[in-house]
Amino acid sequence: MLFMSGNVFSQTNFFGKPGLVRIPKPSFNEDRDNVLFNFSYMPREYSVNNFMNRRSEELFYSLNLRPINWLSVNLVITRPIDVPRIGIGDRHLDFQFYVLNQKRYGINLSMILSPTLDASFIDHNSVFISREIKLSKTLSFEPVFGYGLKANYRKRTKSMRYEDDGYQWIKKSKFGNYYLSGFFGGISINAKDKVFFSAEYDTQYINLSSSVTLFKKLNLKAMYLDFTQLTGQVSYTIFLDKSLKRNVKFHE
Amino acid sequence: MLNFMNKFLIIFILFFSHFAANAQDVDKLKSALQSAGFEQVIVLPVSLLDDGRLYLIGIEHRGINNPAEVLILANSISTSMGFLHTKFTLFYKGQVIHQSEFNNGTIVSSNLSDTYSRDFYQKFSPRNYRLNTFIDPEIQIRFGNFINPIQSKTSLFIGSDIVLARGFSLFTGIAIPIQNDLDSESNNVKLGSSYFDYFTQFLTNHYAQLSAGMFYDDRYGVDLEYRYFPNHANLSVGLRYAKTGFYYFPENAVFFESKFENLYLINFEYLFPKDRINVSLEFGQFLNKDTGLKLLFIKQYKNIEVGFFSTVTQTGRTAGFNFMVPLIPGKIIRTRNFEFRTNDSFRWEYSYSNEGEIGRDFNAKKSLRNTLRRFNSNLYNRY
Repeated sequence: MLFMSGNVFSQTNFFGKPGLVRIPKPSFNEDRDNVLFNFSYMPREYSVNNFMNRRSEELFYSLNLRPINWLSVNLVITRPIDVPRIGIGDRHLDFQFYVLNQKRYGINLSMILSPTLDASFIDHNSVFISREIKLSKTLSFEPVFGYGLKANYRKRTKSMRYEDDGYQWIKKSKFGNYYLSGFFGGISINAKDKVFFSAEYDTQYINLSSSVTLFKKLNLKAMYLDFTQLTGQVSYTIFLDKSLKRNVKFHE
Repeated sequence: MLNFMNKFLIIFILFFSHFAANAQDVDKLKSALQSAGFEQVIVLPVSLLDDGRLYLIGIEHRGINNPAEVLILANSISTSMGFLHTKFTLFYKGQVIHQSEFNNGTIVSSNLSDTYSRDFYQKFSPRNYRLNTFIDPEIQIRFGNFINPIQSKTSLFIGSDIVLARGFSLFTGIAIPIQNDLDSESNNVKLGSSYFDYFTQFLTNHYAQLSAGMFYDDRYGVDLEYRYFPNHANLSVGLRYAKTGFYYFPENAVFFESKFENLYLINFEYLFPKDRINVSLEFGQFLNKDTGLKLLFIKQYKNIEVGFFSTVTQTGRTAGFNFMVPLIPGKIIRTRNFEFRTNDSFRWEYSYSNEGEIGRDFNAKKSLRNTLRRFNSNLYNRY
């Protein structure tokens, strides 16, 4: 069961989730015995976290794990480079639920939910669909379309100089969070599960990317944001269900 | 008539050559298993079948954290040496856990009968263990200090769990500090966690572990854990009681706080075998008289565990993750009586909140719950 699908690497967005350049995608990857470590960089003009409206170059360290077929867990640490006294950075957690898959329902549908932890400024909740269309044995393309909520259910922060008046819907833009607010969409092209191209509209900009997977584990990606800024991403996959050689090998 | 005599002769010769080869083969099998890292290898010839003899083989392997892989390795060695009818009994510190056999490639497990347990126990000897020494980094990190966001303390534990009698062991070692900007503990080489530990399956499916000494996480005292862990069920239940105090090593000294604290916890754990996920609910009084509950999801991979937890107590609420991984390269030196290896199950936990200690326990590395979890035979054919 584990090696049937051959540990196929799926394209990831800058957060290390299945996705295009910055937007996520709902494709159902058969492999789930892996953990993905991801590192990416966003220049100041295209920062995502914005840490309470403090713009800065941002580094993203993230981890993506899919313990169950229909759920993946995503941990993201944002480290704004120029913002002092922030500790380890912004710690974000979200879940992606793979609700429908193409094999059974004709389309892929996923939801991303960020639990209310009052900790992160990149919380986002969205729903999105896609359908993979095979052009040949080795080439396919996949249109993605989705919608992200413009508000988050959370508490106001102290720096907004409000009294603690409990949980409520607050516009994400108040925290400088413009990530996936509204309708987004894009197209991903997959060649041999090794080379990927993407074009997308992420609710703010139009972005392009291309990436290549080496040794089935290492993925290098170049992103071209808003047709002006070039940036990059590196991710590495570890397969967790492989036997250690030392455990099964023996000499008489 | 001649034909019959011939046949008889052949059978006669075959029978005796088979019998003569037996003792020698068993010795060969034992040494093959031992050189693959097995300890406490006990082979019991049982009954003569049509096409060979059935052997009950007792084994323990401390370098592999997955019992299913221990069984697969043992089976591949014994079949390659011509032992076609075997049943394997897994030991933990020489105590029987359960018996497993291979049936067309799948592992079937059952409880071992008392008679055979007694046969194994008669042949048990602490001398069947190596001095099994392992190296284990201890890494404590506190995130979130604004100026120094990653404060850490790293040391290297080198030690062993020395089995003194069946189920009874002395866990001890030294800790070599490497780096510390977290607390004021001295930078000298010091005694690592050291305690006596007794493990038993006192009734079928009922396990207990009693430990006394200086534990991981700076606690000393006694720790008693009971667990009902049925061989074929997915639900298991545990109780834990501990009376401990705080200890640490200032410069050239050891300090034991005289104030003792109680910890009592009840734990329910349910395994979803298809997804290999354990859902665990723990509640009671944690350290620092902190009452509350902890919900934990654990995904079990072949040699790795990944857990996500959420804790709610009087002190506050937190969430985080933990994991268990085998360290590379594994075996470093292995001789007849000695083994030096890296830890087969390095554990680490990250908690979101570091304000106060929420739902804290201790010595989780060696807890009965974490030890037994991997022995659930419903998992063996699911990896």
